[in-house]
Amino acid sequence: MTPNEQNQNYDLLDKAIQTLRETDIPAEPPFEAVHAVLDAAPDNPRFLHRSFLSHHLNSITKIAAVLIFSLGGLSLLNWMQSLDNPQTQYAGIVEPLLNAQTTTCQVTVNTVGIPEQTYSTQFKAPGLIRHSVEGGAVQIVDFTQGKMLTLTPARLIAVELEMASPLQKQGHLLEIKKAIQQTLQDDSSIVHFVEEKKIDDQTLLAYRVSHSQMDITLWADADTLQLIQLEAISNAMNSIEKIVISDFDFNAPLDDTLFSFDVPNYYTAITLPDPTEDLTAFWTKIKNLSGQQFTNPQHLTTIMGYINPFRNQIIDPTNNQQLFQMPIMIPVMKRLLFL
Amino acid sequence: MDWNTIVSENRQQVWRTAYRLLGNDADAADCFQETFISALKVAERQVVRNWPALLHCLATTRALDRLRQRKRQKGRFETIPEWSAVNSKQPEPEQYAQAAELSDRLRQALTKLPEKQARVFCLRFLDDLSYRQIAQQMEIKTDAVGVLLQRARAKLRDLLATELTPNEL
Repeated sequence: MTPNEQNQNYDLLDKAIQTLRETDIPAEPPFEAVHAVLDAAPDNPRFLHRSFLSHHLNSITKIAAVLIFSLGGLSLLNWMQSLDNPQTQYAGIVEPLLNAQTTTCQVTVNTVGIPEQTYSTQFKAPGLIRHSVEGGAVQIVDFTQGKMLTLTPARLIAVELEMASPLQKQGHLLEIKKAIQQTLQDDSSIVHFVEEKKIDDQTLLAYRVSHSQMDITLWADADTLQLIQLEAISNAMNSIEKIVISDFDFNAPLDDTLFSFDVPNYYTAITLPDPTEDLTAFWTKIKNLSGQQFTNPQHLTTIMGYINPFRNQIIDPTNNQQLFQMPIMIPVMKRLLFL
Repeated sequence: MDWNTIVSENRQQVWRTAYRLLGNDADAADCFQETFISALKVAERQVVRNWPALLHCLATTRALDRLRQRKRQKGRFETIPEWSAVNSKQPEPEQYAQAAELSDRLRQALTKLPEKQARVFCLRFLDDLSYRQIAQQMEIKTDAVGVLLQRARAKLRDLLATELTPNEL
């Protein structure tokens, strides 16, 4: 091998290393893999600490240590009970959110690979939701009836969909509410006080709690314990999703007309087929509606808007797998439509 | 420290190590799970003083094992289309294909190195660990790291210079 050839190989190796280092890596491992790993630990994973004891302390020292730790633990417990309990404060802060008959709020969603979205949400118990983007689309969903109406004022298009079964995926607000409800019922959920912060003369307290599908941080007014802002970081999708909900208004009267499924005058009504019955027809209609090839992030945001309320009810007919995750859904849809 | 915290704090590092070496979701996810399960077994036998280092080392070893396994199976792997495939930030297709081919060649070349050389190479050039950190993780002398790296680089240069058959890619 000549020196020149050797240099070329040097370059090639360095280039290959560089290329490998720059591999485009998804930010998070698949949700299922993380859960499998979490579930793999024994029920009582204290062996991590036991093994330390077994290596470093003889049995007499172990007994002494256990006694000391037990007494210390009891004292600590008594001391903590004498303080304000974060669990109790958390329950008080979320109570209006969980029990309100109506809720109005602002929702901002950040998902990796998709532009940030902010929309207003109006909720009316038991299952009516209206999402609206300022100057943009309006979506009205009845989760109990499986009905959806999406209005696009710029194109005067009204997209209707009625499904045979109630919708399972209930939008960000209701899913976070459900998760909060579960953390209250689950004795193993621990609420942590995070910090106190002063913003514009208002003192805010932050609490954090973990749910199996998301980490929730809530900010409340220190004086009134009124909920100011909710942040949820969810990894239920393949990519991490951060949802911030603020500007809460509970139990304000909301007119029924806000949740009307009547198509307004001058709008062209388009009915989507039920995706649980004919996925190909459904996706063809979505494609025709947008006239694009599922390649542009902004365009995908629009598609997500249409399919979000029933995303986890979409099943690949070839293998009966749930197409909940967008990265899986898009290639399957392309295949179905021969794109 | 409990298991949830260990997984939560180290999941991204393990995932990156596995994905970079394996190049696709399915293999990387399997490797990710194998790594943590191996770490659990290690913890049952002995005290783990440094979880990040243990997991890092295990992830590299498992990923290299899996690469060798792939090589034995010989067929080309079909990667599952990912979100990135529809993301507009992708480089031009030709550029992307060249980069992907070069990465594959290096991955294949790594499977032909002796195990220690491959591990040292990955820890140094892909994960940016210092000689000292590598020596600690692999329980070898710092001098030995340098020797193994030199041999690994020399062999990789030769392997990359050799035209690989399509089955080997």
